[in-house]
Amino acid sequence: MNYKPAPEGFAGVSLMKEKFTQVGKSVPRVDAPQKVKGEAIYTGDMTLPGMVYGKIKRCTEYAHAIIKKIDCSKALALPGVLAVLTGDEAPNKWGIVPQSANETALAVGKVRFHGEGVAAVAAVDEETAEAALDLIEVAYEPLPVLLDPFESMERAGEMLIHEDSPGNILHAGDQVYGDVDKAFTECAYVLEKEFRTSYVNHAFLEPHSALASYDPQNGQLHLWASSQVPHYLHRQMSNVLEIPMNKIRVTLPTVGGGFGGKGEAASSEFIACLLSRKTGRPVKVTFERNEVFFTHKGRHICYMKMKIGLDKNGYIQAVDFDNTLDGGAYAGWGVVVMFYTASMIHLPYKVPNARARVRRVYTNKPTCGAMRGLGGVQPRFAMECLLDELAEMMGVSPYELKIKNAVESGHTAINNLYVPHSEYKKCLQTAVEKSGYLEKHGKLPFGKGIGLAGGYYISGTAYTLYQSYKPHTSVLLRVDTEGGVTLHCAAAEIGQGCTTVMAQMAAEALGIRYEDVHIVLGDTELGAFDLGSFASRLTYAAGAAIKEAAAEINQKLKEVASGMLGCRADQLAIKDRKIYSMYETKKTIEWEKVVQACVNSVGALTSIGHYSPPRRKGIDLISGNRVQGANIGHSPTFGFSCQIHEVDVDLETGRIRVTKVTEAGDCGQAVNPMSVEGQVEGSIMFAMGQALYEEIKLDENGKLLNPSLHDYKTPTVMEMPEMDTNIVDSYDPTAPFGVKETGEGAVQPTIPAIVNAIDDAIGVRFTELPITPEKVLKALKKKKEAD
Amino acid sequence: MRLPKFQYLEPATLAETIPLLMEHQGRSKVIAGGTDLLVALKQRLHTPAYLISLSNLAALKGIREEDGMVTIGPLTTLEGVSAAPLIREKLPGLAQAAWEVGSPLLRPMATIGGNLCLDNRCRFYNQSLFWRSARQPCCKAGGKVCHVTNKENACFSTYSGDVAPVLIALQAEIKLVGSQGERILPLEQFYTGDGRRPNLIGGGEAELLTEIRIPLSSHTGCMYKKYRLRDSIDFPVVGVAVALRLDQPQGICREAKIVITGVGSRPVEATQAGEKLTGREMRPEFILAASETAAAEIHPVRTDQVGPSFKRHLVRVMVAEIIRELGGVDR
Repeated sequence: MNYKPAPEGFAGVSLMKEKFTQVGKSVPRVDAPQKVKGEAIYTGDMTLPGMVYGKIKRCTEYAHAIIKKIDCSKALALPGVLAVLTGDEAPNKWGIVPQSANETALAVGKVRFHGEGVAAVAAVDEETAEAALDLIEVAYEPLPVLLDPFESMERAGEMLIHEDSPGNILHAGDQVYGDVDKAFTECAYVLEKEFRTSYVNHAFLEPHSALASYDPQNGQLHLWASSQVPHYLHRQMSNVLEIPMNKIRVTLPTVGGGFGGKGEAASSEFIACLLSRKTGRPVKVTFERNEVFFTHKGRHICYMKMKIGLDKNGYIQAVDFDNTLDGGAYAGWGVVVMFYTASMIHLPYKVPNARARVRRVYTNKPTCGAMRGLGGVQPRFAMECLLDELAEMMGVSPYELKIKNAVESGHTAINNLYVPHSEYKKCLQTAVEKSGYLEKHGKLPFGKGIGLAGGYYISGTAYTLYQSYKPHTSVLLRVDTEGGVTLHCAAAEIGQGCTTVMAQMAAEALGIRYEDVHIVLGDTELGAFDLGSFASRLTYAAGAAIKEAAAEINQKLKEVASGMLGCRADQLAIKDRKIYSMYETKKTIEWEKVVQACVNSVGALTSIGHYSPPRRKGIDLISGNRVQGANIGHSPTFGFSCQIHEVDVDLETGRIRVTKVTEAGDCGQAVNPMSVEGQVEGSIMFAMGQALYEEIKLDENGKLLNPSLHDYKTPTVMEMPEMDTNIVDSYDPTAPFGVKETGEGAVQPTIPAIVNAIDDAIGVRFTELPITPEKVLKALKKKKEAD
Repeated sequence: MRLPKFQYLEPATLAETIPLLMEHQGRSKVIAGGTDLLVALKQRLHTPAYLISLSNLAALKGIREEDGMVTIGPLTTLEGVSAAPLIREKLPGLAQAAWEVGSPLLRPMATIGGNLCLDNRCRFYNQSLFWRSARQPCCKAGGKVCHVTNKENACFSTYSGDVAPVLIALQAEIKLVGSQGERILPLEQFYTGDGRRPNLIGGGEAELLTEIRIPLSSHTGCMYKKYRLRDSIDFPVVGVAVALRLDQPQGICREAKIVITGVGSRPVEATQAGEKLTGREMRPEFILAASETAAAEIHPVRTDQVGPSFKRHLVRVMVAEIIRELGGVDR
């Protein structure tokens, strides 16, 4: 029974498009009824016997200051207070990128942004905990506040935000491929512009919440948390608490959205654990909305310069990209986001010469981090807008220019990014045909416009964030006569729908129905290893691991069934809960009967499947040299998307309304088309917020002005445009079940498509976000004066 | 955020309510729908010892018409007002304004009386206690300086109710009942223009709003338009109500009342703009003059996320648009 199936193609997948019965169906989400009925249990809903409440004292006075003294004695003396905690007690640094980890559970020595935590209390109820916070006395010595990244670099000689980061720069890097300068001299059309993106938060519905229970008897710590990355959280908790990982268990109750904001550990989690260890009682820490804005980790503010050159036929010859990322106070995902922005200029078009010069700068603001479509959204905005304008210079349709340069299956970019499969051209064609773009663009009345943009995103990463060769996802399948089929994996369901998709893929691979599969996720003890829900990796990675695990189970069942049916095991197939001979159709038996026979003789069937991504290197294909940071951006495959937005600009009030969006996406084989549609519509709304409505505002001292969902304006259902989303026919033969991502690629084209549509409507090219009515009126006035 | 501790009182009748208001004057708040109050309590803008609920005062609910007058009980919900056939038919401007408040989740709870009593708002005031603790308290919160204007002892917080402008344009009256008996006054007199204490009863006075009366004969057409950053949830950036009395359709204007919200410490009536229309035909040049005048009559300060010049521009655009629509004038 030690049979391991021989790998067929890459990652154990077949090279032919398969006929599926479970994959490709719009089945209802398995977690939907509970959520709709309000019965889903989130961390904040939980209570444990003896549980107490943790609250965090935050610095309201300054955005940058030395902590001279913290006096917690009065707080500790308050009846009902069990413990207080300060940064010195847990000075080990955490951060998702180990090389740049520089955050502590609570500030140590100084605060670097307004709202940073300086102390915490555990008390019998929230009222007492809050009263105790007021009794904590902190003395500060204010330091100069650096809010602008350029000022921060300039004044670094006078003031460093982190002692070990000269120039107030976390990291900077150049990536040069080919001869960009020479290529520009040979171009017929060259355009260069500056762009700036805004400071936006994910605005997920459920604030961070953590419940920790430390057992002083056996030293075991159990943490329930609202996280996308139980594994990275687990690992960092072990570092900060100095407890071995095998003594810590992380469990995810229902998670109310993440969008990258829960894509690294949160201070709530460390504080809950530290306070639980200190008090010996379960401690819950739930953030209020303003704390979500303080801890932030949203989209980086990018100051970009981009230059694109085309030859006389419109083929891209060179892209030059300069990006200063304002990252706020700490490192977080910073270096990764920075190199992603550099990588994102290589696709979805063929770019023979490319140069990126990027730097990620510290400022005294809440830290930026990962946010849906990380690193892609900002350069995409610049690139798709520039290409639109270049098409105008050439006198051709942006569609013509983009489809001419679009990548195809088997493309290797000059930085060695390999695209095994692309239906990007089909995306462009479909969206253009369905929207009537060519008939409308440049022909609508003043105030109405239509804009096109393309985009792509990775389907998983090539590397773990710390040095490791281990598989990125493991799936344990258990088949018995009691539970049926159970799939165990420590993956995180954050609302993206992986539970349902994994059930469909497991059912497909095992020849049963998706309702038959129980999915156990989100627990580092019950589940086999998974890296986390980020980088649009899970459908692909879990799919590959599921195929491997299922093949082993199927082989065992076929061997038993062959005896029962009287035919060879390798002639058997499993489909729709039956095991049958492919050649003698009468020889068929119920799948369950075979399971029973198996279990009766040897007990429950189990198998484990793994997925490891290909590890391509970021090299310069011409010189063969390694290029720093260029491993970032590699992915087993890529999803593509094209969006066409139609806008109405109210010429009197400046208000922009997106009236219709036509989208066409290449997500490979859609596992659950209804879920794909949900992801795409959500993506469009998400990015529309950044384009037109959302912005975190600070005063001149770095204090947040609008840390609430009343004052931070996410679009409502009333702003939702009519949406026509289309899944183009696609199947990546190198991918398990032919799948690709869909949760982040559709975020990419939204902003430039809107901006291009606004240009089509009123002849104004905006380069800064968000495009508010006031900005529109100013631009219209300026345009009128110029005319 | 959690609510502060308070005692909840639920008088059974109006007669029981007034003595409670007297007894707990200065340390109580009246709660009807609570959609605005509960947020303010959570933000610790108020920490009253008592909440006096009006939920049992059924007599203060309902809409009726008699003798050319529509009477609305202040406990009628905004949903109830906007959906009432009588209001939709005879006072469509009021139905529109009620429908524009907040979001569909708020309107079945929020009452029209509560909406009239809406406290003034400011980006420095309507924030959590934590947010406000980063600064000295502003004038409205009991401090010395207004953070918007840096002026001492002056509060520029903005009145942002949607319903009051329409009712003032319709020349509505309200009834207030207190220990000294009842009094009836024009709604516009209910608003003080003092951002700290924007209406006659918001400071904890022992009086209660018990009736809203709207004459039907004062106008031939009334309309409300609201501009907000998003088409749900948000308070108005600017809201404009106009009531016109024309001698005949598309005829001469006998009376014009233009009332604007979101631009000052009370609902602001653009009286000079109204006068520009009075005695005139509905012609584009008069409409333009009225809208220009209205824009000059307001003095907004930056109490929300939008600048004063944009508000003035919006008033100009919206006043003209409404008058054109009411007067049946093409652009």
